[in-house]
Amino acid sequence: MSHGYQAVGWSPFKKRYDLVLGGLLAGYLALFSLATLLLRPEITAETLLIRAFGTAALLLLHAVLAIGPLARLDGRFLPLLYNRRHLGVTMFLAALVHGALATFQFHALGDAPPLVSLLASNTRLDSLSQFPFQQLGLAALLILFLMAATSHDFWLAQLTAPVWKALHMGVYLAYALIVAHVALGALQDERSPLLAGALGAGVVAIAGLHLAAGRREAALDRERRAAGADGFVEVCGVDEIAEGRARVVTLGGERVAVFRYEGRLSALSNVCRHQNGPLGEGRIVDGCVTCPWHGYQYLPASGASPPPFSERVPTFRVRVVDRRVFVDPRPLPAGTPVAPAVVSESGGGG
Amino acid sequence: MLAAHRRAHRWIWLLLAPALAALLVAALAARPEWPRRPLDPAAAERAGADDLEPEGAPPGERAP
Ligand code: FES
Repeated sequence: MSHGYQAVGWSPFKKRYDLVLGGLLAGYLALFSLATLLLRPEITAETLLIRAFGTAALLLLHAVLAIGPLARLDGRFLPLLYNRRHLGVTMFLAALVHGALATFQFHALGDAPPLVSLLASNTRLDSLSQFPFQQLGLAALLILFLMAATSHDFWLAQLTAPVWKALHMGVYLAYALIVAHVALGALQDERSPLLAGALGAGVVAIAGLHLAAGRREAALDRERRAAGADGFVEVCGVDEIAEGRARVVTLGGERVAVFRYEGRLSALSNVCRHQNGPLGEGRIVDGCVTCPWHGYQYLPASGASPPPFSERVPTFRVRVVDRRVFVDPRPLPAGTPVAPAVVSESGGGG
Repeated sequence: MLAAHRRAHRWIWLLLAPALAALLVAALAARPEWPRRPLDPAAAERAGADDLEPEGAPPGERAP
């Protein structure tokens, strides 16, 4: 959190995650090489490596892009989100090896410097089948580099979460460039329908998942609730909120999470200070609201992280009348303590 | 997530999905060997075509 940085805050879980990731990548590269050598024994070592790393990066990019909407659609995918950045950096490294090998193979042996050759040797912008697809790959690689280089929490804090998130939406542009790079490059020469089918399926899956998750979010955003004379808005019944969990509602265009814990209710902004994660989809752990994405914690009654951390989120006034929950939609400044509404477990409510 | 960020996400994918689908279709159509399967030779003969791949040619291969 905010009390200092180290290169990577290693935990046993992260170590295991990276070991599994490294093992899967090595396994994939070995399998791909073996299968290619069996099917096309005439292939050169350079081409084999270019293809192995290129397809590995493409697969990893699909995994990176699928995790976000999957976690929004089904909470069981949340553990994958926790170390998504490690997956992203691994994907960038695989893409970098692919790009470096391809530049060496196709552009290092001429008179022009390799990068000049890469940028200037093909200018057939008027032809789809001859399109300068390598430039598309280079542009995507530059975007992925920017994102990998700024993936650390240090940059997140320097840039602030909204700017960092906006910058990291560049991954969608990189994805479009890479799909174009493959479709106008490898797909033009590759006669087997396998690559075309896999790329098509990948695009359909990624776009479909994002559209489905977006639809769900839009439905929640459209919610409108009328305020009473005192400005409070009826949100739900007490019994609709499970112990240790929250109900998320949209009030005044932004989302508010109402948590129930130990016979009390507290409401705070649904937006985590770390990377805008959905706090209301988290749980109360050790008396703290715990973000489902990377585990940042906040005290439910004040929206402040417990010491030594210093993150704070806005809080909201809550009241319970006849076991119905009412929230004042006007946010209080981040970290403002609010007396929790007390819920008598036997009925009634206070 | 912030409301503006959520909206941006939605719009990006509403635009990106059809754009990527169109790109894939255009790229496949631009392939020199697309469509790869030879037409039905009898139908082609009726239509007067004379430069088609012979039946039984390996997919994607041209007749000598
Ligand atoms: S978004 Fe990372 S901990 Fe909440």
